[in-house]
Amino acid sequence: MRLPIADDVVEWDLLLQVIWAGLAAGIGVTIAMSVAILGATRAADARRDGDTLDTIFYSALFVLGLAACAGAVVLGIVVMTSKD
Amino acid sequence: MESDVILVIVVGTALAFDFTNGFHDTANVVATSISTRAMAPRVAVGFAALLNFAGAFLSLAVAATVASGIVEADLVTPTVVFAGLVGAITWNLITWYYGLPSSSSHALIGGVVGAAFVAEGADAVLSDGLIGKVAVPALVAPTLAFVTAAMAILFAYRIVGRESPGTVNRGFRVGQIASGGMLALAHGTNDAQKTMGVITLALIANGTLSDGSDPPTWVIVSSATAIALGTYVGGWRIIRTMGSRIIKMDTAQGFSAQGAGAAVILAASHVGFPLSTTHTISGAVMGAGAAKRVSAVRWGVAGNIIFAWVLTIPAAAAVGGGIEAVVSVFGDDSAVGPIIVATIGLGLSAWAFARRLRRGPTLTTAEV
Repeated sequence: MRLPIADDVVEWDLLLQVIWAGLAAGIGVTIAMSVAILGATRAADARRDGDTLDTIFYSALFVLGLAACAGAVVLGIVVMTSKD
Repeated sequence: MESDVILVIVVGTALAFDFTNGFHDTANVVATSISTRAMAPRVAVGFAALLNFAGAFLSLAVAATVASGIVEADLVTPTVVFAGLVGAITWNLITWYYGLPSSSSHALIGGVVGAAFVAEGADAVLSDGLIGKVAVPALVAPTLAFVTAAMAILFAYRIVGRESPGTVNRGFRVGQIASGGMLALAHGTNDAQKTMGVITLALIANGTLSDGSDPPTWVIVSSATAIALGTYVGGWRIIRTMGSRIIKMDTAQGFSAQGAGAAVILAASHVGFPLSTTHTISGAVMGAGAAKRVSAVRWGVAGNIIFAWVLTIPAAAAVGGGIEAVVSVFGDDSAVGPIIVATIGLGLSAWAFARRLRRGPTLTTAEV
C-alpha cells in the first residue's frame, strides 16, 4: 500500500537504494570474511594432513574471500567519492 | 562588522559542536573493537580519529541537505544558527554527562529547527525535508542495521560454526580492524558534513555565499580536524555503554555489527541523508546480539538509549528555541547576545568537563 502524503515527502527511490545497498554490502562483507576464515582454517588442516587438492581449494577460497572483502571496501570508497 | 563578529562566533561554535560530536559519537564506532579486544582502547581511538578525518573529505551530499534541506536558508540568520548550535551542544553535553549515547546529528537538526521556529515561525522550517530526509531515515537506519547485522551473523555462524573458535576469533579480530576502520570512515563522512552544512548555512545567511553553494575548502578541512580531535580526546563513558552494557560480543558479532553499520551509513551518506551513527551502530549491535540469543541483549540499557533518541530532537529544539529567544532580546543583528551566551556556555562546559573527569577514570580494556 502506498501513502499519498508520504509519496510527496519521502524520496522512496533513495530510501530503497539505501536499503538494498546496506543489506547487500553489510551481509556480503560478513559472508566474504567468513568464507576467508573458513578457507584459512581448512587449508591449514589440509596442509597438516598432506592433502594437496584440499589445500589448494581452501587456499583459493581464502584468497577469494579476502579479495571480496577488499573489493567491497574499495568499491564503497569509489562510490562515495563519485558524484551522481 | 557586527555580522562578521556573529559569523566568527557561529563558526567557532560549529567547530566546538563538531568537536563534541567526535567526543560524544565516535566512541560508538570503536566500542565493538574494544569490547572484543580487537584493538586496545587508545589505538582504536587514534585509528578512528585518523579515519574520521579522512572520511570528511569523501562526499558533500549530507552537507547540502543540512545547508538547504531542513530550514529555509533565506529566512535564517547567523544568530539563529548560533542558537541552534548551542541547543545541540547543550543536549550533547547533558547526554554525555549521564553516559547516554543519544544522537549528535539529531541534536544539531533539532537545535537549528527549534531556533528557526522561534525566530521566524513555521515558515522557516522545511517540514518535507525534516520528515523525508531526517525523520524517516532515522527510523529506517537502525532497523536496517539491526536486520543486516542479524542476518550477517547468522550467515557467519552457518559458515564458520564448526571451525575451531580460536582460529575463527583470530580471523574476525583481524577483520575488525578493517570493519572498524570503515565505520570510522563512514562516521567521518556523515557527521563532519553536518558541521560543514551548518557553517555553510551560516555563510549563506550572512550573504557570504549564495544559496546552494558547496562548503568552501577551509570549512571542509576545519570540520574534519575538529571531529578528528574530538574523537581522539575522548568519550570513554559512551564506549562503556556501547561496548559491553548493551551486549557482550564475540568477534564475529563485532565484525558483522561494524560491517552492517558502515554499509548503512555509507549508503545513506551517498544519497545525502544526515543519519545518526549512534542510532545505526546501536541497531547493528543489538541485531548481532539478538540473532544469537535475544536474552543476551540488555534490553533495559537499550531502552534507556531509545528513550534518549526519542527525546533528542524535541529537547534540542526546545533548548535551541530558548537560546534564540534570549539572544534575540539583544537584537537579531547584535553580537552581544551570542557573546554572552557563548561565554556562559564555555564556563558551564568547562565546569561539566572538570566534574566529569574528576568522577570517572578513563577506560581500560579490562573494564570493557
